[in-house]
Amino acid sequence: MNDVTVCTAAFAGFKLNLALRWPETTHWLRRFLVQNAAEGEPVCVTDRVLADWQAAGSPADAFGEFCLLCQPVSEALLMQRRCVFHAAALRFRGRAWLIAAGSGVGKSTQCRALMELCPDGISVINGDKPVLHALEDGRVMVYPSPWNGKEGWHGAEAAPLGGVIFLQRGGEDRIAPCREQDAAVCAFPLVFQSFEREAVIRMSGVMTQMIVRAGRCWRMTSNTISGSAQMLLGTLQQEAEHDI
Amino acid sequence: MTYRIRPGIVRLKICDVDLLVATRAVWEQCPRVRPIPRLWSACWAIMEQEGRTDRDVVRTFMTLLRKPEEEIRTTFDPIFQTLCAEGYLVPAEDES
Repeated sequence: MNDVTVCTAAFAGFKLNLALRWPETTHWLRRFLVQNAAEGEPVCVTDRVLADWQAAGSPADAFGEFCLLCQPVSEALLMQRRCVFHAAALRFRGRAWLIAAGSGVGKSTQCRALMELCPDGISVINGDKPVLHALEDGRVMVYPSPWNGKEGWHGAEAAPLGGVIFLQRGGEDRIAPCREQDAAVCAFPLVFQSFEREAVIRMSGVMTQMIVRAGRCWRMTSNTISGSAQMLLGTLQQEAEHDI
Repeated sequence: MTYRIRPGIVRLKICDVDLLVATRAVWEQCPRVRPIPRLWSACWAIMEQEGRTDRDVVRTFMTLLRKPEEEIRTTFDPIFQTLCAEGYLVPAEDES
């Protein structure tokens, strides 16, 4: 790479140097940039990844670089008990609740419905890809990240993980606790990584286990938005009561 | 047929569930993430060692369980066939 811009960003309290092809990429990272450089080699989007992105019809530009940075950043963070996780992160009664779903399933719609039901109680930590940090005491902290989805939802402070809801569409509104083993299988692909290196895959597995064991996990099917949002809010309220 | 592990597959245990995870290099050949039963994981652990094949798995279990090869094969051949059909194992002569 020629003529790179090097900057430093902090994700969940850990600083990483970033080498950017386009200086404009800093626009989307601006809330996370810090002054002093970190140690270690900068993280960047490789030529191969950029070529694949272009081959898929996406433009090679600053915004593309910003989107593609998510994966190498997550891989660098994995070595520090942190990762980027694909889920919306809501804050409710001092805890973070992750809503995970495939594209188009209705994650954002569900979040919007929850926020309308409980406008003073629910806020968004990150709308799409928060950064998780597994602490030594077993808690997992959920932090904002610059990758906050189409809606650009962000703003709430970091919070300790309360639980993960795996959402899918179905014929009824239903929520049930998820076995730890099933949660692990669902959560593992949500830890951002390239699947290129065995060491990173293994760290993703370690991180997945810490995430699943840090909070409760549920499977939820949503048939009607209003019904499932009410049901989910009820579940979160019950969990919050247990915490008191 | 003798089977070997396809290079590029990682065996993981997360929350007591065993998984086979394909590295990007072999995404075209097999599913990316596959939970497997404990017995399959035990077979894989034997075959992960360099140069080992399904024959080593059969020999190991013949010794452990003190049963003849035919009986061990009845249990294990379907496992090898399924893993080969899904792309995780390859015939020992062909690792492409």
